[in-house]
Amino acid sequence: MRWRERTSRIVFASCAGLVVVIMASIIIFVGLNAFQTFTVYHANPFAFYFTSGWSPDNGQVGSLVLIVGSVVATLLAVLLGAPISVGIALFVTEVAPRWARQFMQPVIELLTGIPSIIYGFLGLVIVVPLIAKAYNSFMGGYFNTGFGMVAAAIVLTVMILPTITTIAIDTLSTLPVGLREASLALGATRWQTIRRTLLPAGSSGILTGVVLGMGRAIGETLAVSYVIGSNANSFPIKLTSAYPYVNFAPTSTITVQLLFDFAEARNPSLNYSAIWTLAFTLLVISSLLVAASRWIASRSVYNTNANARRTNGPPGWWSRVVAPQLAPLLERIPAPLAERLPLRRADS
Amino acid sequence: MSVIAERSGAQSSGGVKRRASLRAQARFWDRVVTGILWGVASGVVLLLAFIIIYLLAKGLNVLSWNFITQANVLATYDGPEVFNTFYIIILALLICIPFALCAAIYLVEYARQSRYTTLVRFATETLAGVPSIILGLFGFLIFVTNFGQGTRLGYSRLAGALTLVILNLPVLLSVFEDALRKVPNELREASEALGANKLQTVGRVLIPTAFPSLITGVILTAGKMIGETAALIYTAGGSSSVNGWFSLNPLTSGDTLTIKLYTLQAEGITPNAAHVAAGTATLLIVLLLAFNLGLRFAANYINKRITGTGHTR
Repeated sequence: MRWRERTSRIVFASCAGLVVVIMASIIIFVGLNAFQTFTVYHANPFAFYFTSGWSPDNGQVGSLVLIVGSVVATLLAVLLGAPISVGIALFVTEVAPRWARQFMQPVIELLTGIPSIIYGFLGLVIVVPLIAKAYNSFMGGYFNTGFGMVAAAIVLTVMILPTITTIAIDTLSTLPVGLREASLALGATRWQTIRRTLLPAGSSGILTGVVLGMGRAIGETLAVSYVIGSNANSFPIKLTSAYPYVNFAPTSTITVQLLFDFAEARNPSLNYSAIWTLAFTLLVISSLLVAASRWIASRSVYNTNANARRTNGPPGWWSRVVAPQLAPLLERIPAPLAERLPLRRADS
Repeated sequence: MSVIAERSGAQSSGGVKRRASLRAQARFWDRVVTGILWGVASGVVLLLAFIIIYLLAKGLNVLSWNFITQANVLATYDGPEVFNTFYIIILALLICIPFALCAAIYLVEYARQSRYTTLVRFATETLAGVPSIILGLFGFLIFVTNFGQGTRLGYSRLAGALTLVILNLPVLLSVFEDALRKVPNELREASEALGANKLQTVGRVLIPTAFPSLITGVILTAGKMIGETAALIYTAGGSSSVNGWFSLNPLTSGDTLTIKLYTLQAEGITPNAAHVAAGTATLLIVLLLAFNLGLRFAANYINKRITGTGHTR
């Protein structure tokens, strides 16, 4: 019996280790291919990240347009999507009567379940023509196809709604009831309670959701590829006038270029390596977003986030490995700003 | 609130009036915001309704028995894609479930908080955040080709399934972990008090008790797999052969419904591609609706059978 116990333990432990092996090999193999751009083909890393002009067939690898495209698409989606998501979450937890709450839950689940390719398809047949029509009738002058950053941002907004909403609902519904009751007992209206009590108390949980939504938006491929027009040499925003504005023309993002260029790339070529470099860049960005969401969740006052609840407090790797590194940086944040950030740690 | 509290110290009759007007103002804004929140929520409901009705209206007339079961040279039928979608999902789940379950059992039942478990958790969270297009390229590198040189499995349903395993392992792991953690400790203690060892406790007490949640997690993951595209385009292959598609050989290449929708748009070699695309999109959404409703029904049913209560998730 004894050996059976021991073998089963080893089997279970190695299954858990499989996840580590997979993650490590993703980083290693994507990374190895990525660095060939700089080691074998001698592309200038600075030029790769800070110049535009993406035409790897002709040896031109400047990915600035793609990186700006990914960042702008993500930011626009979050700017549009986060307020709506928080609104839905507030509706579900604070305003809705019982029947409406029960109705909203499957609605949000269904929105989560709709595949990205369907969103892309709908964007292609509905959003893009609509933008073209609106642009051409309002601005006139020349013909606009409707493909571009605006369509991508709209589609991404809808796609990240369920992500942020689910986490915001989780956060708001697990806030201590006493907070709500105390505020209402003071004579506050519901909106005053929401604005002055619930939103500040749930801010770190909501922010976690927003960061995870950003992670989803920046990694989204298919939906964006349908509507963005994939022009890797045209910036999504223009800075030429006094203020930046969104360009109504086809542009591209990292993920879209990964999708379209990979089909044509043959193995030993600059084209092929440059795609892996893009992939590695995206991998780093999305890992940073995951780390950021963990960081925000671990600093939650009420520990309401679903992830934090699972591990009951900040995860071990965080407080032992990462937090000590960040502590000196945090101390440098000026006091008034630091007070406004939802950074205070729960007393454990 | 603080505004009212500060101003309430005012002694003149103007202060009283002021307070009343502030309260009226607060009530007014409360009503406005309540209205806005109702508006936002109904907007989202309308959006979902619009998406579903639009897709049904656009593609329902394309759907026919032939459309979902037959194949033809022009690829205007979806038979192979329906078959491959389910084939790849089932294959991926068969590979994924044992690993995820064992890993979850280890994390919940065996491991203490150690450097190893924190590493596993860290890897799980990071893997869950990796965009699926990167996993698709990784799958191409590892499963389809031999690190980019020559072929290993080639474009095949097995390579696609293995990539889906990587994509869904962290999801399934955390769902299973949650399910096992929800089992009350008394059951573990009772089992061990009866003289059962760890393995017996896991096999005879924990897994049966957590079974409804485990099944719910599996169906939820399968629903996510139906819609996956980016991870499959460069692993499962972009088309199915007209004659050989109905085989159980995992090494044949085959596209799923989502890949077909993508190739219809990207390559456009099929006649009346828009027509077929609308039908494929409708088929996808019908499948997902059926899956979602089926999930609720199954969860209710299993719960009733096992626990004797009608409690849903």
